[in-house]
Amino acid sequence: MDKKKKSYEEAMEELEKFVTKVEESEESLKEMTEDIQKAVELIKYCREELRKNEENIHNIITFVK
Amino acid sequence: MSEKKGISLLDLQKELKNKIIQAFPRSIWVKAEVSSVTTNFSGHCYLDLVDKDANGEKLEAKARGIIWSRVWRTLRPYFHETTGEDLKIGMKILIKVQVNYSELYGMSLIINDIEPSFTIGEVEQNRLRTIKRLKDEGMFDMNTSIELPALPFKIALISSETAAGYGDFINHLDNNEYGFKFATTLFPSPMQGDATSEGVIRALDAINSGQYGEFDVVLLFRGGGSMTDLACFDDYEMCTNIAQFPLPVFSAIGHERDYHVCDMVARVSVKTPTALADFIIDAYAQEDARLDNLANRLEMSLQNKFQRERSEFDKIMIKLDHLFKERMQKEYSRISLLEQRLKSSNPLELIKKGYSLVYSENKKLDSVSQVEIGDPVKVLLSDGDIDCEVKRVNKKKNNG
Repeated sequence: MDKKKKSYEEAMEELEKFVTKVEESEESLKEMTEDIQKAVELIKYCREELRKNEENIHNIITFVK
Repeated sequence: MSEKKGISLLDLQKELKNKIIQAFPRSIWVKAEVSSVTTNFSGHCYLDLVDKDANGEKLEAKARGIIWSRVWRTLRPYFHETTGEDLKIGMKILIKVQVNYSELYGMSLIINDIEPSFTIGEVEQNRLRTIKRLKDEGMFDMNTSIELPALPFKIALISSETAAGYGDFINHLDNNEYGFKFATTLFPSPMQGDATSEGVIRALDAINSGQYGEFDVVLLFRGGGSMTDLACFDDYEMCTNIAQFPLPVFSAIGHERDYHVCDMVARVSVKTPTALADFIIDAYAQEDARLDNLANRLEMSLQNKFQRERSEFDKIMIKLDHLFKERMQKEYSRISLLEQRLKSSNPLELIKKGYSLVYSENKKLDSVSQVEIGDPVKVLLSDGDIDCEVKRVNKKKNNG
């Protein structure tokens, strides 16, 4: 992960790239293993971001009501 | 000169006495005004009786009256019971007298009886005269046609701290159940007897002078008293001043049964000082209730409006929530799909199932044409790898 926090969109874009790269299987085993690891981390990150969004929206709705 | 010898004073007095006794053999009824009255130690009552001119200023007749103590003992309670008070200065009375003449003291009127209803009638007469005069002069309705302030706050009081009802009034006004506060200023004046009229007029002048600030209303009040105590409130001078006063005057003089000319010319008149305090408080209470009512209506319509807005808003919220969830679902599916793709294209997953991967120079082989005999290759299995050498290449015929 970069030091600067990625936006969800940036993370998804990156994830797409990694998955496509792995699918094309043009890379070395080491590269592929690293890419898969990165992709899995990105999946975790994106899911976490979505969960946070849900929580925020839930809080906002509860507050407004 | 023999004609100038004269007669003795005593003879003259005797002569006068005889003539007077002959002229007034029986008691007669006489109307007069009391100008002084004293009762001495032995219980006899001595009066100065006068007649005044039409303006009530110049003396036109004067005589001494005596009520012997044995008569006074019965007349006094009788008179008091009917009129509510004792004989006093300024009072008009109708008395039955025996004219008496003494050689030593001159004429005196021995009073045997008194007609209290005459005194009451005199007060009434005076009242009627004042009313007629005020009406004739067009003054009667002047104060009553002044517009009433909705909420009198700066209040000028004309009364006396020692007057009956003053304490009741102040107590009632200050300790009202609503906690309303009023700015009152007392302009003291005598509230009974002859000095009242002058005192009230002086107080009115002071209020009108502006040097004590501006006022919304003037309150003239005192509690109950005897009829002649209160007779001063029928005084023409006082009443004409009240009638012409530029501020509304509220009056409350005496008791339930009392009604005076000042009550008639005042803008508002109530029966008692306590009722007067209530009148002021009620004006505020009514306005207070009106405001409460308006506030309630406002709140109600706001609530209704809010309720309507709220249901609109709820609809929008539900819609937003729905859209958001839909979008979230889409995002989750997108991630899951990528995850799926990653899983299915991960060769290591294949190895776990018993397949193996072949690498040459760190490059995964997917065609036999990528190697030649003698090339070293690495075969990857789930639990490790095998270094091999290509011995023979068998290319499928149909595989291009």
